Amino acid sequence: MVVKHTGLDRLILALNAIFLTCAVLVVVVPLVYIVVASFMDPTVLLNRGLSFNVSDWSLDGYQMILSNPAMIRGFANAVLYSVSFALLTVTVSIFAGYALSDERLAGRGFFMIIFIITMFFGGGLIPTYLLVRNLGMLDTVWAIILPGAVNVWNIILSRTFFKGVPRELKEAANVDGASEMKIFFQIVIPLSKPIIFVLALYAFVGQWNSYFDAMIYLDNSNLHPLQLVLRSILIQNQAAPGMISDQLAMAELKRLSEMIKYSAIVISSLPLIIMYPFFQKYFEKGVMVGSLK
Amino acid sequence: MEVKVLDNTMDTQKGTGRALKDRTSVSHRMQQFKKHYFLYMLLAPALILTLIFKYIPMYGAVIAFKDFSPIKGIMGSEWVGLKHFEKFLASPNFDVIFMNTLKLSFFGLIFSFPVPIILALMLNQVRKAGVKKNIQLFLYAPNFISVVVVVGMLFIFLSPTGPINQIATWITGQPIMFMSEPEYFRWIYILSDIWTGAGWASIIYVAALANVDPELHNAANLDGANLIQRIRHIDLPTIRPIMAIVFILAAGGIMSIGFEKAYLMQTSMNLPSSEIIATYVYKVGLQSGDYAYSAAVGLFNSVINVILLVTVNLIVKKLNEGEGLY
Amino acid sequence: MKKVSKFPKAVTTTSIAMLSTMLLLSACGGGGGGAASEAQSPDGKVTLNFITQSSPLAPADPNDKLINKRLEEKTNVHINWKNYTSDVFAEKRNLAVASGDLPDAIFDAGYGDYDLLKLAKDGAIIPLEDLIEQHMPNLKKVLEEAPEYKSMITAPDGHIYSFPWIEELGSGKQRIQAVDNLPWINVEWLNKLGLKMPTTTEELKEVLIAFKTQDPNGNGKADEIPLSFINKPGGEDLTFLFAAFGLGENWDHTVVTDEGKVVFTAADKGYKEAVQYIHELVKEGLVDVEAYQQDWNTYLAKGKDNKYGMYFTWDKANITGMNDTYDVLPPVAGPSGEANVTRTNGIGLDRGRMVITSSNKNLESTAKWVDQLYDPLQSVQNNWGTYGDETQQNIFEFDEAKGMLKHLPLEGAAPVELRQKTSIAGPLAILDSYYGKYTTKPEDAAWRMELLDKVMVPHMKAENVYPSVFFSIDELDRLSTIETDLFAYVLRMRTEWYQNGKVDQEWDAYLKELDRLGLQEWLQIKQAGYDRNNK
Repeated sequence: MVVKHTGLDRLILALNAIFLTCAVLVVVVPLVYIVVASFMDPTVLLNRGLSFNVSDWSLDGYQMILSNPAMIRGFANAVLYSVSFALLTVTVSIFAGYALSDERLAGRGFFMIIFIITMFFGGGLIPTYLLVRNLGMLDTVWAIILPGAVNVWNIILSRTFFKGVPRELKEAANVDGASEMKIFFQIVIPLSKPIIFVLALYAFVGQWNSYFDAMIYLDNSNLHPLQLVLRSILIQNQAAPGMISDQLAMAELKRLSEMIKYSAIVISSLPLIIMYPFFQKYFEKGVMVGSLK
Repeated sequence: MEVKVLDNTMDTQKGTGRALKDRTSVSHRMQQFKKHYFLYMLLAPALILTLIFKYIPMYGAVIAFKDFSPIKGIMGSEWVGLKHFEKFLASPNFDVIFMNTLKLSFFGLIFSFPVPIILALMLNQVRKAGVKKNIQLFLYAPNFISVVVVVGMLFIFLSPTGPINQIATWITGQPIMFMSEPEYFRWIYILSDIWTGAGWASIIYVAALANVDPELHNAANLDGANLIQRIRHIDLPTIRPIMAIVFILAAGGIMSIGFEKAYLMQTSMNLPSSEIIATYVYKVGLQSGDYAYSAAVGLFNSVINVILLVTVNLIVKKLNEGEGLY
Repeated sequence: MKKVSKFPKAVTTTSIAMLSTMLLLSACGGGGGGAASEAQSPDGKVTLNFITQSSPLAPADPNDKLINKRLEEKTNVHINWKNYTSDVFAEKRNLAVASGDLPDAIFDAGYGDYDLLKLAKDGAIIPLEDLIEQHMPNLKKVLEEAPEYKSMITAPDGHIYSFPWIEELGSGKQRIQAVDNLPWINVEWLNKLGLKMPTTTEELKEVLIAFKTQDPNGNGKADEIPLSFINKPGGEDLTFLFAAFGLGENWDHTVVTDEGKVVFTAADKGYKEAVQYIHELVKEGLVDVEAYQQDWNTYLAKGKDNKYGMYFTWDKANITGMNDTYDVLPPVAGPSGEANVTRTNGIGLDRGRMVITSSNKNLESTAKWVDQLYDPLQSVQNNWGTYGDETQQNIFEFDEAKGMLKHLPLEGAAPVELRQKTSIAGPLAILDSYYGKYTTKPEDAAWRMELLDKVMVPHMKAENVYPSVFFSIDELDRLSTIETDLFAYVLRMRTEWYQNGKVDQEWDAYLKELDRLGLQEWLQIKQAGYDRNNK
């Protein structure tokens, strides 16, 4: 059934289209800049601005990055860390969020406060590092995915989502004799695809773009994820300590580092952009509707 | 004109018929526990991980009150009470820095909060799935760009000889020194934050709106409701719980605004608005890894954040039918 | 449905058990594996554990470098290196110390004075003077030959806590670091317009105006930028010109009068006049609009395009290339009729280059190994690169007869990459007396030093500079706190004045604000440091 629009509606929809187009433009122009900049010599770029003239282009930036053997390892590591992290944190958050959304759970408020406190107060880097070290997790994948697996924001979000699941649904299943476990896994979860995939996407991307935990806990450079590798490549082109007499070459390296900046962005974002459409279909309409019937 | 609304919010718990004394006694609680142990099992992983990785290291928070010596460890270091806090509060420009932090966060919150919501609502009206997908892809992409590059681009686009100023010079004859003048700092910071993050933040709202039954819209439409009314009464209530949570949590993060972007955007001239707590502490502590001092400042920020969170939560609860963070 | 009620109880008991173990475990501070090596006899082959940093271009294991291989043969000491890339090194180093996992020593530690004193106070690093006395003849020789360094590396409590890096390139007024922001003027344009090299500030202004209005690059557009700089303390700042008006300015705002009084340059009368002069230039539209916010890359890009009439940098080769288009501008005379060049207070000394930790049980072996680094021929190689490597290009060739290392021409290889791959840096000492005896001077350094000697040194009026004082922990704390606000304020105000010219009206209020931000205390501390140093 198609919805009938009033005159006012049509106007609003037209404005909607215009705003969205503007929004896209505002977003796209700088993005185009980045992509083209990644192919350009920074000196030319800064002097003459963007050029679509292919003869002004060079692949130096990409070459520097892709010829580095650590890149492939970094890529594989990043995939491993991001996938396992997403799986773990989404599971933990969804479970906890569901439990906290159920009013029959005694002490809900209490547990909530326990979680919220950790958002504001914490021991800081050193005690956490000591703990990870004493648990023998240094230089392992666990140091990356365990400490951050509990994300209170995600728990709260999923709790909010589950609160929106109609009670009647659960009660009806209960009447039919289903156990708590069955209700959760066979009814509620399938309905929760949107929140699950949103959290998974946020978690994956967050982990993909992070480098700090890897930097702190992973000594072995074979375990370094993509972002950390890129950072090393970028930094290597900046000032080295105490070398007075190499100014000319330093200047050249700074120039390369400027160029690599953009290429690095493109390389590290590409997988994410490719991956995104697969997640997207779960955000579409009508997921819950079917189950109500 | 009557518009039917599907109330998706959970009813508040009604009494189970037993006296209050009975409901809160230990044996009753144990019984509840046994009956719903599945729920507790679901809660367990998060709880255990939190206790291990967040609560056990919490003894480290006392470093803010100590003269930290790595050899003596955190517990063995000398207690200095509020010395670090005093040092921080006595900084000559403390009030300016504090206000800068507050203003930046506060205005940031106010202006960037509605944008993802509006975007989600707008996207929701797009009929063709293919177009919608592509628009979304573009809107989300800026989120992947590192802050270093974003600020680099800001300098380029807003430079006195850059594209924006070419237009400005044509109109007024003078370039606008965007990155030099303190007045512009906040606007540029907030607007570029919106550019980077609004699309990404709208995902959660889009996902929530996916749960709205199109039948509702049809029904409302048949009843004569126009687009605005339909959005107001169907879409908005669906995402209202998420809006509330996002807002409360953002309010609770106001003091903790991170240092990287502000630091990158600082120039010699815009410091009166661009020097925030995080950048200042970074510079003072640049001498050494002064964990204790930064921890003290962090603690100071956290206390204020908690106060803000509790206050905003109370307010939101009043406006949101008693539903808040806890 | 009867659920197994034992289950929750089991869960509870195990959790409590686990948690208590965790708690005990996590509180354990040090000893997690102990990164320092056990005591070994200094006469046999000794193995030591060091942590260090290097560029990602260098081999991941420093033992792959030829210099380290030769050192191991020579000293019979094997070093186990934990090598981090420079971007993560500071965090890793701090964590290693904070978690109690101290190695035997930290090489290329990059510690500032505050860090050294703090670590010493906490007992993380040990005093070295006894070791130097007993086991390190090479270092002793260096300190005897150049005794001024001895007091520079001694902390206020009388101990030496770190091994320094010393690289002398000239001394006194001829130090290569004496001027960092050299002015380079476009002589091609001067010639095209038939102008002479300006000798006074007024003449300079005329020349810049000519650059702007007479189209020296001949393209019909007024696109020349008469003067450009980067508005940050450093090699690209235009403060070189301030010397024409008095004491001048340098990046730490510190000069010393001939009577030994420490002066804050940014509160001096000459400074006010200099700022006013710059404002006149700005008013005439002679100054690059982007100067207040541009970064190195933007500055470089325009430079490469030869857009500048005049610009500032350490060495013109970086920006416009080693050609004849630009040449150094000799210091111009101000209203007083005299020219002056302000010296920076920089010298080639890095105190905290290497430290020995308190967990080290092989002090004698460690000291002897480090001493090798101070052998003159070794120092030269460690700093720049080596000879006789058959697998890659060499920086030097070794002249057996003279016992001297000679720089080889680079033939296009990027010197920085080569050096980062082959040199090991670390603590070393290269004194002026070594040039011509143990090594030749690197070409670019030699060129610059000659330039300075000819053009700048004759005009350096000040006899004193501010020495490298080793302040106490409390003094360092106060200095850094004060400087954060003070220096930022100074920079902001002069930038505003460049543009609005209100320096005269606002001068008194400015001085008051400087005092409020702690200027007097700063002066006191620095004066005390200077007096101590000269005793």
